[in-house]
Amino acid sequence: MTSGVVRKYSIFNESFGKYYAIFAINIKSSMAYFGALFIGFVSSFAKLLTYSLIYKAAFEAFGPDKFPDLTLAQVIWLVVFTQSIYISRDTMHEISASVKSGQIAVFLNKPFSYPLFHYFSYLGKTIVPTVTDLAFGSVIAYFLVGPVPIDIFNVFAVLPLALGALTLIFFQSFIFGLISFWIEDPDSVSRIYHKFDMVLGGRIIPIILFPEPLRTIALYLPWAQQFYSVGKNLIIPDHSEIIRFYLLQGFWVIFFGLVSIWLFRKGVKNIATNGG
Amino acid sequence: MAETIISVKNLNKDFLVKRKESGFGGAIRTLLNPKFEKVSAINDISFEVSKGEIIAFIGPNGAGKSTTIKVLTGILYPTSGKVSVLGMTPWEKRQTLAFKIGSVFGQRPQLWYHLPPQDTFDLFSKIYEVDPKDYHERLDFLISAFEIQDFLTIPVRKLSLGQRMRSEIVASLIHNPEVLFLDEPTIGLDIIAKQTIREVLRKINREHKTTIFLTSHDVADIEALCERTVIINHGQIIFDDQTENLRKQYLSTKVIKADFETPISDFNPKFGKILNKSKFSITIEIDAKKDSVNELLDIFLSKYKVADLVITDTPLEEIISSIYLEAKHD
Repeated sequence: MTSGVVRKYSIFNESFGKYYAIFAINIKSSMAYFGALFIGFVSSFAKLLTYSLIYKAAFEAFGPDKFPDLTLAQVIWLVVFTQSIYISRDTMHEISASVKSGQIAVFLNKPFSYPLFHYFSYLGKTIVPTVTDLAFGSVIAYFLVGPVPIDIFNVFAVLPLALGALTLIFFQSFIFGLISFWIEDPDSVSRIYHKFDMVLGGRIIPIILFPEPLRTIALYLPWAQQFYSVGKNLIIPDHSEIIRFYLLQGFWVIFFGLVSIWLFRKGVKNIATNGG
Repeated sequence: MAETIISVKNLNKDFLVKRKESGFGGAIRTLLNPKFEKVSAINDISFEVSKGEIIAFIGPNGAGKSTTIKVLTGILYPTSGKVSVLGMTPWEKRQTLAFKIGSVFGQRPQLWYHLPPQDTFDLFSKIYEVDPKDYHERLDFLISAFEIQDFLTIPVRKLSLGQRMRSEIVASLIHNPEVLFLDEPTIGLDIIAKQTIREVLRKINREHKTTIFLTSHDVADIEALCERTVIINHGQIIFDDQTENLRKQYLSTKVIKADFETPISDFNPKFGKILNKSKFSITIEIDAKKDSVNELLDIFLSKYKVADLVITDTPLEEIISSIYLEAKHD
């Protein structure tokens, strides 16, 4: 056997194959503690029960006129989808720890793109908890408020938005993780930032219930694209609106993607010897 | 003459380290007016490594070993100097170079913690784009050489430190690298695990001509594996020669222990330092550069009946520590 790697496939196949393998091994790794995922069932149940009681009281107190074109069931199902996207795994702590400890060195000298390695790792780690949470949430919502009609066409139309939403969350986490190259604890900055996504991403109150002009403004911001977009276009579909979501989400994905690459290139030059 | 595959010329690497004042007031002052100090981690070092060499790159903590390895593998950008590894400048061609080198950082695992080693090996074969047939052949060889067949399917978190380290090294060899960088590969391992790793590394070096660049605090690793030793301290190379010459050059003392069948009460040597003496036994330390071992042995053999005789060199560990101390005082 000769020393050195033996190449057989085309560059595209090799590249795709390695990132698919990274994605797959992370799915497998995330299933190592499959039992722990069921604990999420209890958490989902408590969350959705609380939301359904609050919104039921609100609907009864203010009357349906205050909530035009929206039923209690739609609101709760919107929360189910928003929360499922939110449960996606956080990359920030992983990157931040690897920068501080110097573990980053192990993955920088592998023949792959470091940002893509983390992106596919993140997707692999995220998919099982997200799908499990969605399944639990759907069962709970079904029993709490009943079903809502979902068009199969919309499911396919929304899938790219779901991927885009996860991509946006990844880029933001990646950026916060890379900040560790310059500041000691990116957690404090990230915590403030996440207050915005909690409020303006429609995670507690669906954006459709926001007063104007806050509703219009919120719909243009990245948080609406990452949390609200999937549920909104699935539960309250509007074919003209979905194109706007595609375009806005695409814009924010490119924006955060470019910031991530720029920060990564700057950060790598800042690696110190023992730690980050 | 053997082909040079690593060439380092006048390499320098400086870091800016932030200095923080103590106390609350100090924290505010640091925040408003941060002060940085330039620390020279590598200071004008030059060396070459030939194909198939096993080289020990050693030094005390903070000497610049890991920084050098990180520059050689393309992770760190140097401040100045020229480096060529397999004909490439590492920090410019990091990903291309990655196909041809392997690395194990002893305290930085690369195996997937919740999965068995086999899964990481399969993943690495994809990452390094190894042909499936070559991969299986290679893996069979490594599994048998490192004797890891019994725990291939056990999650890494349940393996012992020795089993993990063997698996880590296998993972770094999946793509049959031309150069293997090992940073403290035997740290924390028991003697059996260390021996297994050393034997296999020797075998891989012999059979595949894999160049091995080793840093270790374990002198036994160096004695067992490395023909050549480079010692770095305070970012500068203070020794670069054959490991055997390290002994010769720095070995000034020998310890001679002799047991006798007849009493040696009247024995009073003109040179050397008596470390221990009884009626039938003596231990003397002599400076081999000044005094003759032969002369002492002649006296023993001519005057007394010798039952046993042992001559020992100063342990390499002591030699290296004395070099570190020497450099510190300079």
